[in-house]
Amino acid sequence: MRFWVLMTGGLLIWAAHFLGLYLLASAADVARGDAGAWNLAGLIFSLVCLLGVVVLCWRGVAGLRVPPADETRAFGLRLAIAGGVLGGIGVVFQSLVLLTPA
Amino acid sequence: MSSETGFDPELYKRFPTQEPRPEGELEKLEEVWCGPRKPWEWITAINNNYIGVYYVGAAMLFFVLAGVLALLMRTQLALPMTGFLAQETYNQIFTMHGTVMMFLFAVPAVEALGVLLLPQMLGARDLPFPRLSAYAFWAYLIGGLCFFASLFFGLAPDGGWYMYPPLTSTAYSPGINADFWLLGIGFIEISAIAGAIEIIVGVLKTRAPGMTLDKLPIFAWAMLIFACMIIIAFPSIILSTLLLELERALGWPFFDPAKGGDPMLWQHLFWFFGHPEVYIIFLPAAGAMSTIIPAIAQTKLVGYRLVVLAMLATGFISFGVWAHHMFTTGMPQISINYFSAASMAVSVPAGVQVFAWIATLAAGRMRFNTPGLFAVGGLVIFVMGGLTGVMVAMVPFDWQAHDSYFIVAHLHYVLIGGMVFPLFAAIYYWTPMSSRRPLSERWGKWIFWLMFVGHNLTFMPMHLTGLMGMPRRVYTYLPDRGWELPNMISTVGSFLFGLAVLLWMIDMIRNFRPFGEKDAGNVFGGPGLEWLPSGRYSLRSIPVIRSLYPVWDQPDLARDVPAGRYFLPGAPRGQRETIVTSPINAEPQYLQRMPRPSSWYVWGAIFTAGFFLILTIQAYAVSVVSGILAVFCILKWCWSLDRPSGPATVAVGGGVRLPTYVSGPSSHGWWAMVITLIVAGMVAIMACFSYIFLWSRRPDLWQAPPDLASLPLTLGLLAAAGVGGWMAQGVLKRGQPRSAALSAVLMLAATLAAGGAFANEAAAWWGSGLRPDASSQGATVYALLAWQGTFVGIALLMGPFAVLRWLFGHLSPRHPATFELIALFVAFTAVQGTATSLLVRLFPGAGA
Repeated sequence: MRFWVLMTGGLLIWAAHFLGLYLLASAADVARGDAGAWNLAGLIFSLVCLLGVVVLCWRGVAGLRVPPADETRAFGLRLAIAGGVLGGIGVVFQSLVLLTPA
Repeated sequence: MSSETGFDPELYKRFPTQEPRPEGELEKLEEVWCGPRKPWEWITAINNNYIGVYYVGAAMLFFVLAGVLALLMRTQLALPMTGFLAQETYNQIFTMHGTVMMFLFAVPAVEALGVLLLPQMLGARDLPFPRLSAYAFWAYLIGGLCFFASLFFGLAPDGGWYMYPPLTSTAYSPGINADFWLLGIGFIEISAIAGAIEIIVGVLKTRAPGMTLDKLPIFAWAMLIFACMIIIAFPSIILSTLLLELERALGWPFFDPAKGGDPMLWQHLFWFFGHPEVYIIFLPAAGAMSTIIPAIAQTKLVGYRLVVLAMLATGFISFGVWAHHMFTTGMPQISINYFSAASMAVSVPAGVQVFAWIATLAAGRMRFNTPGLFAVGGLVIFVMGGLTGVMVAMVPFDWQAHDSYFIVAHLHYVLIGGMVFPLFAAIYYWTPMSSRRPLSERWGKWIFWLMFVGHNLTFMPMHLTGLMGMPRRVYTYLPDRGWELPNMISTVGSFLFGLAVLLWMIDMIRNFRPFGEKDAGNVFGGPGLEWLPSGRYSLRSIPVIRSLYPVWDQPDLARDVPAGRYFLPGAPRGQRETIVTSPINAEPQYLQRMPRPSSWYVWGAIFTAGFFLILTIQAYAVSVVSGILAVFCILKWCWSLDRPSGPATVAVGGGVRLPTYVSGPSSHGWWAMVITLIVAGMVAIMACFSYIFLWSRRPDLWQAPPDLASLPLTLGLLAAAGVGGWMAQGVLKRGQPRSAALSAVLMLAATLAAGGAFANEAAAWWGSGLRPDASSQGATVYALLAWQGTFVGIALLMGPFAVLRWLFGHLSPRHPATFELIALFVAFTAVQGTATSLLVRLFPGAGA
């Protein structure tokens, strides 16, 4: 299971980020409070997700620096890095919505 | 290579074996895997070579039927103000066209392709649950045909394939047409999920030894992701159809704003399934493209790893775009922006795949044979559909184009380019493998060009008719709006497309004729295991895989595999068997005994389809009888499971011995149960979402939950059920003299505790005065209770089932697999009950 989580980590973070932003937006809609505060919460959450992506990619790169135990492990690590980069771009792209004036 | 299971990879070096195979080994294998000999056995057949062909054939039958409906629509729309079809009939026809194409053709077709191809591609004898495949197929075929027949009685659904309430509520759709849709697709949901379980476990657990994840055929990756997406997406449509049917039949107001319901809930639930559905259809087709293009270009796929990542990313991101179908519904602006961004982002992984295909074509020597033409044609059409997809992902444009013919053009470009053309490429590419005879190249090229031109003539003008303002789903239009010419061109194009399909049908009938030569071989020079010589048993021996392109990179396989020089060259126990391997490194784990044909799953499928369909015509007593018979057949089928016999280990070639029985996470049954429970959990999660969503719409209508004093008893009983069920399997495994009896009794007690918890919770809510038809709160609370009650009901069947197995001597510490699955189910029921009870009791709480 750890292998699968590592391999799809970037995409899982993207999914968690998307879900988080959607829930925050829905909560903001129900609460009808200060939109700025909800946006700030969204941005902080996005930064946490980006940090997760960075950690994932770093782990992948570190894993590849020492020769991996086998090709499958290397395949998983490379997929994790590529998925992390893609997930990171997705998180940034999604977060731009928060910076756009309503 | 490091080991995942303790298996020594050095053992692979013993293969191919050199010693001669015993006399009569191949004949015995052929006898064990023999095909049907009597007429009835053609129906009870379970081998993927039969079920796969039946499945593809049935899916293509529905493609043709839905295509005929499309031609009827195009005839009606060829000219303004024609009376070829009555308005009401037109509504039924466009609803059935969409429904049949999406539910009865597209998903089953790609699932069918998986059932047909995966065993050979993975080097397995068959997928791990062949009876499940057969059950799924027969439920789908019988139910699908009856569902389609509703058209001939004027009872077909007429609310569009997405069935939005309030149009489909009893106020505006008082007949049973909508019920046909809601209940009619119930068996398709079951069938799709059964197929998905089969495919996930098959891809993860029945690969040839050495076929590690980095050597997994790209088509198998696509099927794995596709099946996982079904597991996540289909629960949403299961729930939404249940809720709408409950509202229609019993007046539970989930979607009725007057009682706190909200039609938007339907749209959220439907599109959480509906949009991933597009990618559910697309991904296997893309996997086929990524398999076919390297074969026709005779070079390896460029960027295999990136294509795998792109497919995974498509699978993930597709779940973040559902609300782009709802941009015009007045959702909060910021939510719309998120979905718009995700809708644009999903084009990135699709683009990666497209560029990988183009690069592969450029890197190799493109051969313009029929599969090649269909692959390239599909690519062109899909890119065009993708580009208009990016256009409609932009909210201002979507507001203009929404519900116009522009959308009709867009979706057909995506679906035909992304699924239909690749499917035809796949049919032309793999038919020589299945029928041992290639389809006609000359006819194929004619068919391709007719279809390509027909498609573009039909749907290209629809972009214009849409931009000129023609709305979708209208049965006619006024003259002098400038819509006549593009509509006429579309109609002509659709008949060209129809002609292509007709020619293809003739060619298929010619191909599957039961006489003439049948020895096509590897016609297109494909690199996969499916192109090795094979029989009904799939490959004679299961090879050790050392490359992503085994037939190209291990040329001796074509000689050694049919000679039986690899794993499992015969049927060592005289039974149908396959090797089960580990999910990452594909290391051999054990020998799975596979079932032989029987009739229980066929009857189970017939009664399952009967239950849903008879329910539609409101013959409740007959429907219940059909449901009981379906349960009986399935129990009878389950009764024959988990009956190990013979030696504990068996030699499978090269001096390697494998166990013949395992339980727990290593076993294929455990995986199937876990996946089933994920489906159930997803339904519960979506139901909880519905509960919170409806509260957020009208919190003023919600009343306080029952007094918390009754909650501890519920939670206590659920804890007893979960812990008791789990402990029961632990007791069994101890292997003490009375373990079997004690564990059976403990399991029975655990299921009774779950039943007690349910009764206590239901009584508490009933006592609070809340009624399911009173408000959206009542409806969702009782829906959650009903869902939990269903699981408790099944658990209450499982308890006595466990006791009966003990009484009949089928329960022993050495064979705990079935018992473990019951324990998993009971534990899940307890957790689900706890979570849902806590939610409805504590949120929004007494202050509501």
